[in-house]
Amino acid sequence: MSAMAPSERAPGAGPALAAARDWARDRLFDTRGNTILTLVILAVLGALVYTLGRWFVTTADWDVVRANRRLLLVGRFPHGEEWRIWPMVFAGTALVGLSWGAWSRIGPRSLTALAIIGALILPLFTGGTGRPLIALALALGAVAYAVARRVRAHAGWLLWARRVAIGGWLVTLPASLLLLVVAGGVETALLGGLYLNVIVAFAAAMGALPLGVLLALGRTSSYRALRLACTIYIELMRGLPLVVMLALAWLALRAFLPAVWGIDRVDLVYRVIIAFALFTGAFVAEALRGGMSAVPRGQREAAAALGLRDTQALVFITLPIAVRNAAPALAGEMIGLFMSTTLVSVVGLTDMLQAARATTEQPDFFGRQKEVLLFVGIVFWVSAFALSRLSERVEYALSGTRRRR
Amino acid sequence: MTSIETDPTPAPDMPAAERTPVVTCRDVNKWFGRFHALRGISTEIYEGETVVIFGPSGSSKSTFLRTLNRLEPHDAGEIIVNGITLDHQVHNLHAVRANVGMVFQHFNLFPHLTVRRNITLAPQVVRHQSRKEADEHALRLLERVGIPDLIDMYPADLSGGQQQRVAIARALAMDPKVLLLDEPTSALDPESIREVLSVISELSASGMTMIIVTHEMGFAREVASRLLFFAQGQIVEEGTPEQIFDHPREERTRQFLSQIL
Repeated sequence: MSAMAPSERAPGAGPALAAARDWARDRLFDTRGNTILTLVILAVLGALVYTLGRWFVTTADWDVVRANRRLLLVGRFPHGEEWRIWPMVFAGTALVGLSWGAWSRIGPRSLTALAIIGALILPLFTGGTGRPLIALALALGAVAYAVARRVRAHAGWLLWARRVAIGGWLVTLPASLLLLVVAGGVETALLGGLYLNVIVAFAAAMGALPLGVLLALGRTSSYRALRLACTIYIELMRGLPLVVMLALAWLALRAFLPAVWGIDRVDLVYRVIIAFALFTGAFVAEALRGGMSAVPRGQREAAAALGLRDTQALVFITLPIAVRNAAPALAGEMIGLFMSTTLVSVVGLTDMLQAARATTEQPDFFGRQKEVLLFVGIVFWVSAFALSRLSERVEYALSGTRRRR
Repeated sequence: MTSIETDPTPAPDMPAAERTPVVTCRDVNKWFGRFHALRGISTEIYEGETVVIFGPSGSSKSTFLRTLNRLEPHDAGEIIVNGITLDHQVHNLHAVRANVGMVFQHFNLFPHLTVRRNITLAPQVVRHQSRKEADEHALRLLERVGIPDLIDMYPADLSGGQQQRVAIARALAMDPKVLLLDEPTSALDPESIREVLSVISELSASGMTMIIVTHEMGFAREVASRLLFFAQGQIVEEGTPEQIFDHPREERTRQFLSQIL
């Protein structure tokens, strides 16, 4: 029943507390049936929280994560080559801070979330050589955030902060891949852990997004042959299980690659990235096609009436509106891509999930798979949640209104 | 191309200097499947004229307007705009369109761009104006339509009347030789209609060549230098507001006017 129903308030209690009690009485304990239901659910929830909490605090032994954190994060990445990774971490935290400050702010809820995540993860990094570097990365993020918040008062500077952030992201992603190749490079078979998941997801996304745009354009093209080719490609990819794609990348992709510049002899990791990009590109294309078909004809007519050529209308009008329409679906595809990177273990690569499984073979940590799998789960959940919140911000930024929602 | 014929319906009060046709139509026909939408439209629109097209709904007024910048290709006959014949051989259609402004019933502003960028996009992309030049022009145009303070808003934040005024500014930003207005007030509330009509009146008075499809007959009488009465895809009657409203020659015109006035 409605919370407006008259209820007597006990004297002495604060208004918030009284309102909460009124709400509970009106919603949870208003009939005998509801009272029983409420008590049963509370009992089940309580038991669950108690069991989990007790396990978390007393039984769980997080040494398995602490001892294996290097394996979980970077796999068998060669010692002495870490300089290829840290720039990406520094740039990443700085850009997260800058972007967060330039487009939004860390509200009380975000702060709570950050505190909880920090409290869960940071204790695992006590001791160890990476500690000052991690502290540096976090400090960079905080400073970048503070700078972005300070320049918000000045519209011109804020614009520059946003440009720097966007440019930074566009440079950082390919640059962090380039760092793996320059100065002798790292044997790609040694890539592993969370780093492998991130690298594969980033690189595949950079391939899948342009591919998806081209496929979406091809599928809506007026050239019949092109439309047919793109449709066949998209439907083929959408029908294939990802595991099959990965197996093909493992066993057969080399046979299809042209024999120029040694492309046909690329390492497995690159082939896996190509497979992910080809696969995800089809889904991106479908999301974008949906976004494009939702662009009203009037917008294209207005562009044509102003004298824009077809390609100009596409670049300045149709595609931006389509991306805006498709933003939630695209974000879903990107999150799905990141999650799917855990499938690389089927072709023998040691990503974070596979590394976690490997730790349970270690004699010291028999039976500790709960802790390590929970850790992997938390890391992936936090990443996916962050991506999802990011896509909300992007949608808002593209929403075409100055009004707050 | 044959030389331009003499005006079939000369408006005697027009000075001779303004006797250049901006738009010439000869026997224009269009079919939608088996529906004969335009049945031999012939007319000429002169520089500085404000031509109002009116008539019952379904009489292909909007279709005719949309053939003039080839948003709807015509099937037979000849359309010449700014001296360029519109047909399937037109290579520089975008150049023709850049010189023909269009204002739509539903505004069709670009929802992802601010008012400023809505107005400056085409001048920058099509005319290669500098951002500064385009911005200054945009501000002047917004002042002209009376809403300079809305320059950084998005279309979704504006009222219908404001959006239509932005759409007019957007069309004017290309310095068009002729402005086509397709029922510019049909989607607006009464107050917004007054705002938009006063902007259009001001444009008309300033000598802008305009072709307006509208149902606002009081407004038409006020601003039109010439009226075209459309019915069933044909120009049934044309003339000055006095001729059309006070002494209509055709029974069909009389009938329509008696229904709406």
